Amino acid sequence: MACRCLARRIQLLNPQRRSYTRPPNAPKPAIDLKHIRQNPGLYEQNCIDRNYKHQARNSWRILELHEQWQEQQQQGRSLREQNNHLRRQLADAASRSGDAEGGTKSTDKKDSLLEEAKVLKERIGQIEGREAAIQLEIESLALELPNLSSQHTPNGEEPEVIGYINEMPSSNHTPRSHVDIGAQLELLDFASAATTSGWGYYFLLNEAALLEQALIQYSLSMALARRWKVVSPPSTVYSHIAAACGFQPRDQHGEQQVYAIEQAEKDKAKPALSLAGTAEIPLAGMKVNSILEETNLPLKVIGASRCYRAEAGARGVDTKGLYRVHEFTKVEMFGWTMPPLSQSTAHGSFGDADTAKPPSTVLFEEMVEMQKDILGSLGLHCRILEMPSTDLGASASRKIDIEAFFPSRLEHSGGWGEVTSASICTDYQSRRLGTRARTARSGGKGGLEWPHTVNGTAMAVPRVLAAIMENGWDEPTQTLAIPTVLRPWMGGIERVKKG
Amino acid sequence: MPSPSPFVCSACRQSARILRTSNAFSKRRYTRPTFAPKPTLDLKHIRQNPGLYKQNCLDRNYAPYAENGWRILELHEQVVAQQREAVELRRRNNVLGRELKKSDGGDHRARMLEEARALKGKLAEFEGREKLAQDEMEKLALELPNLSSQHTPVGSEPAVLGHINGNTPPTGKGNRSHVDIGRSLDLLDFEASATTSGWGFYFLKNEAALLEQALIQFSLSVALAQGWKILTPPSLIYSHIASATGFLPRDQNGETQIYALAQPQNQTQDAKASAAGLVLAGTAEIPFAGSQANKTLLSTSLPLKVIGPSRCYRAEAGARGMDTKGLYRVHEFTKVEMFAWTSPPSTSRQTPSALDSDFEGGFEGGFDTAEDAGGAESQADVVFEEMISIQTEILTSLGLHARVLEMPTTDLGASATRKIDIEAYFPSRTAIDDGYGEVTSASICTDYQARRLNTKVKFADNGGARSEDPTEERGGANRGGIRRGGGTAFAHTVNGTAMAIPRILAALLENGWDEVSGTVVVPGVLRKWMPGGLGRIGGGRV
Repeated sequence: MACRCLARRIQLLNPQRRSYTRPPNAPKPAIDLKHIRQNPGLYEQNCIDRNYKHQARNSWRILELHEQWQEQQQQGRSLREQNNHLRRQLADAASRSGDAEGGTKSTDKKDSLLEEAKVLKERIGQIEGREAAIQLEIESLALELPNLSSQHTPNGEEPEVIGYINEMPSSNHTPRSHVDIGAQLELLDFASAATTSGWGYYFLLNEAALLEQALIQYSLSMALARRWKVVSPPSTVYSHIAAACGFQPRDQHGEQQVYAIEQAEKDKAKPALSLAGTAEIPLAGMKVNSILEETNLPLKVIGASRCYRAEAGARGVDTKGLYRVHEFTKVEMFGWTMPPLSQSTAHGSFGDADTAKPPSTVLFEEMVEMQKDILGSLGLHCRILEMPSTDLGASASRKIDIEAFFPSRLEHSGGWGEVTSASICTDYQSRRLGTRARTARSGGKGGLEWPHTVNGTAMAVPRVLAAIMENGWDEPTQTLAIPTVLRPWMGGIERVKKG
Repeated sequence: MPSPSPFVCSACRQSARILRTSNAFSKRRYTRPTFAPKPTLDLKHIRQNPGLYKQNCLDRNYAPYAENGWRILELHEQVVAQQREAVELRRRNNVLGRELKKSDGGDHRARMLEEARALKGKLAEFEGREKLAQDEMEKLALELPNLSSQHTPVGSEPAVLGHINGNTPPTGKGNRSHVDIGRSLDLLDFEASATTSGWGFYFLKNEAALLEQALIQFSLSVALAQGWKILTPPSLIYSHIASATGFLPRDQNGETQIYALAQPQNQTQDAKASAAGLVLAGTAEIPFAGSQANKTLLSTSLPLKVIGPSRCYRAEAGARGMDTKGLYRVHEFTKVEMFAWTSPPSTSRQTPSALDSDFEGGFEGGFDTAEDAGGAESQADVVFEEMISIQTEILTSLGLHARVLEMPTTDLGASATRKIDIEAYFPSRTAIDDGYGEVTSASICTDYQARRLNTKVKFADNGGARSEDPTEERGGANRGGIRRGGGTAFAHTVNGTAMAIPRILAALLENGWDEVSGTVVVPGVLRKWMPGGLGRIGGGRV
């Protein structure tokens, strides 16, 4: 679910080293190292702005390592030249060895040449080893860097409120929490889930279980009306695919944020599987090592999936109820678009003076529009936030969150709680997943470019359910109103009453 | 085992057996945490009928456990003999105590002290041995499968009970596989899932993804119309709850059959606690059964019937082979599952007289209890039949030809006393089992799960025969404050598949395929959940 702090914890703060191994069949990342080397200061500032202090020097270090690598290359070249020269001498010596005056003198010379060649070979081998090590380190440093932030992204920690949905509900009673309402109307069962699974799990009962289905159906129907393609993805994904999408298994505190599946001792060599925290991962993974045709872009998919979050260290104020849970159903939107026309905007930000809206922004705006439609028609009062730099996931260049008003959270966060999130990831994910777009414009006969990816929540079921329960509660009648738009999937139920 | 087995085809019945039943063959690999429900096994019944339990094990292919009943009897006799001896020792100890008080020293006293010390040591040793014996008896009893019902054919051959939509497979369906159809209509993507997740995963695309939703909606609507309660369970479950339900983490080959969460290394307590002992449920039967652990249900509220969709996960280690391709055997899928708690029959197995008089049919018919002999249907039987009728209704209205099978002893899950599977006809599978592949399963588990999960029933009135005290075996005395007169017993549980999505989807694609037009027909009952009432897939996309 798109909670801000949580998202940050999961995605962003991942200064850790890779703790999974990339198997041979994994997509090979193609990071734009040249852009990093040419703009080390930009990447440093970006890291500082996004609270990636440990990575702030990565770009400079990459530049440094690149120079070392060049030096090694030069040395290697001169050694190889020497080697070639030696070989020629040896060949000459061999051809002369048939001469009568050859004798010991030429044999001595040959031996010393051979000795020299052996030393050279060793040195060349060493240099090649060093080159490979340098390249590996450059890659790992580059992979740690977050995407560059967009022009729209406020620097720092404060989001910018860019709009509201619906009016603030007027209420003359003390706010009731969805946990209370759920207990009273027999809609939620946390106690049984504590027995079967622990904290952070729940059974949805009766109308709440029906509402879950209705919310899935409703959000899918909104996307279908806009001709999005529906997909049902797996929730079990390779850890290296999750990492390539910007989700590392552990955060900077070494806390586990992604549930990994245990491997039998004998399977330890196989690539590890994780439970996806969001369908963004398998949906992005659908186009690993694929080439998309320009005519098919933007490609827009939506799908429901079960999502799993370890949420280690997240206990506390949100432990109770549906707000922060380990497992939930979410309907997620994902899209691939053409990269922007000008190269300068290809990197997302900092001086994006382009007047034409990049295709990724167009799709991003469509997603936010759909989120507004859905939340608006559910009658929820929400605010729309342009998220600040410290709050973007590693992969995001720009992020807009929508927070709904939860009467029970008034004291905690002014009542606001995140219900959707949408991000532009520019080419961060496509470069790591080997997804390319064949475009007519680059070269005329089918050049390959990195498509941009965009993702957004359509429906995070338990949070929206909690918001509907708290906002739809009527104290005098002790009943819960079902939003009109959901009734077609609720067998016409208008109100939930006790018993 | 409607649940584990919705994904075990008849062709793979053999492997099905390995998957579930033989799980019991391996030792418990998990530790039961202190907060886990404490099992209450009917040791007395086992001791009184070791031959019955042996025959049951042999019939169900649990040969390694055939002697467990006898072993329990043996251990019990040792305990009893020891207890008798202990009584003697304690008496002697008391005598010594009195004499020591009187004695005024000397050699005699030293000898008495010596003897008392030895006695004490011996008694402590007895206590230790008794504890070990008790643990061993519990372990042996936990390993035993449920007793098979009278209806269950002995052996490995199911009995065909009937057919759905015709008595023979439809003709003229061709043999196109859903994999081909899915590819040609852009409905299934196995290549992408191989890259993101490996074999045995899949992306449903376009109308296939919509059909998944429609199938969930449709199956829920059938059960809701009959008054079932809907419930959405978690998929991540404590492994001790899975075990108590009859699902052990590994089979006898040590193969992982249940996905477990990896224990985070070098993590904070919080992180460790978060993933501790959690597994991914292979079926919602597990969280459903677990939801009433340590609870007492009122008999007036029974039967309690629930239905719900959930994502299910199967490791399926060692199951690769002919089913590797396509939707038939997969690691992850959505299933709508039914589960019910019922009042136990009025005469319980714990009444020895009822048992003894119940054997006129011999052992082959099963070892069921008085209600069978008497002809009266138990509440579990009624709910079981209701589940089968829901399954039949769903498959009938989807237009799938299927056969209904009374499953044989070797094919029952550890927890089941009786199981009925329904197998649909898959045109692409005619080489295997004439094309029939399992799509639903329903089982009665009697009190197997309830005894392990501590789910009791409290009767409103004291109906005499129902004054059974389920806690009888726990050291003889009434435990847990259950009043003998109040009338409590362990609930009987029943489970059944309502909708195993990917298999039904595969069957719909293959049976609905029209070779001439290259399209797939959408069953009428699903169209109300398809956009625009879509009736046919292919020939122009929605």
